[in-house]
Amino acid sequence: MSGPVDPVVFIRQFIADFLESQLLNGLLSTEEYHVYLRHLQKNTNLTAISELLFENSPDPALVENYGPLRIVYLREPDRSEFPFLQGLSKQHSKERMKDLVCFVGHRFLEDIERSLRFNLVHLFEPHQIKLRWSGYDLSARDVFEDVVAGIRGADLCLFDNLGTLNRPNVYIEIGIAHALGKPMLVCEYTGTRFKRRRMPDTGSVPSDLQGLIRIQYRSYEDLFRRLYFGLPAFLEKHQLL
Amino acid sequence: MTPSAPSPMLEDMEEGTMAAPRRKKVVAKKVVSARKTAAKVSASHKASSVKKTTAKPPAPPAKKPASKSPASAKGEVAQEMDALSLFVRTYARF
Repeated sequence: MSGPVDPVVFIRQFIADFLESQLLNGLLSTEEYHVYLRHLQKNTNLTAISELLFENSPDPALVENYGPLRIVYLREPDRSEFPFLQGLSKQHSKERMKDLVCFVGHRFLEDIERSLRFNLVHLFEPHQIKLRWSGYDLSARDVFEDVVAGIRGADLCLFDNLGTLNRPNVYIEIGIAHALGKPMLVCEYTGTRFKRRRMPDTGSVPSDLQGLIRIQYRSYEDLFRRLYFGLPAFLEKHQLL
Repeated sequence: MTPSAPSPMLEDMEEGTMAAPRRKKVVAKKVVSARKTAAKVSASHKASSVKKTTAKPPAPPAKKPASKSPASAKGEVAQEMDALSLFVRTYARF
């Protein structure tokens, strides 16, 4: 982030983005959206709530009449950080019989691994979704077979094409997941560069795959908001709840 | 997923800040539990609030009901049109 974050400005903008996502996904009518937005602007308790959440970060805060919320700091590939708001379940009891498994495909670069996986774990853990990636099983003899087995055994997949120019592995993995009929989230980097560290160039998604629904993003802050706001509908659509 | 307005790229930060401890965990849980204890007001449908001190002014009068909204037409109360409540409800259910 550029400079210190004003807690209430951040929370208000985050929730406003959430509302807009709900509107655009058809989960709120325009009338409901504007009522919610008006209430958000007039919420006099938001300053105290926001300060409490930032004070407690990364621990959850049980905000009366709302439930548990937390601020966590996620990572950009250039190693900078950004705050992120999460709503948490009220109880830890697991309603789902087993955790879901998400296969993650991305370019194997330290900066991407350390940011993408870190962020996804924070995003998915409250929803009982575990990560798996190619190379996860170090005892596997054949990387390709390990990838296919990983995708086959996953409940959902997430692919990020950041830094993949001339490195088509991610697109091959997308093709495998598509052939196996796996629900997937395809993340397409459309920015030019990260400010602090130069990232390898990112190729465009091959034309055969352009019919897939992709999440285009310019930064991980941008991507993870979109992922988070779309996650409930995605899980519901694929009957993964 | 529907794209929202793109967030600005992050500005420069010092090298190696990723692992550096940059936030204090100031008695977080005690603060929360103290506030929670002090805030044992039933008020399940009151306007939401964080009880920071007992000197806090009384809760505002009941909000103007969003009588024209579809939600209130279904019998939901004003708090149900609170955006933060909607956010919490969305992610608390799974």
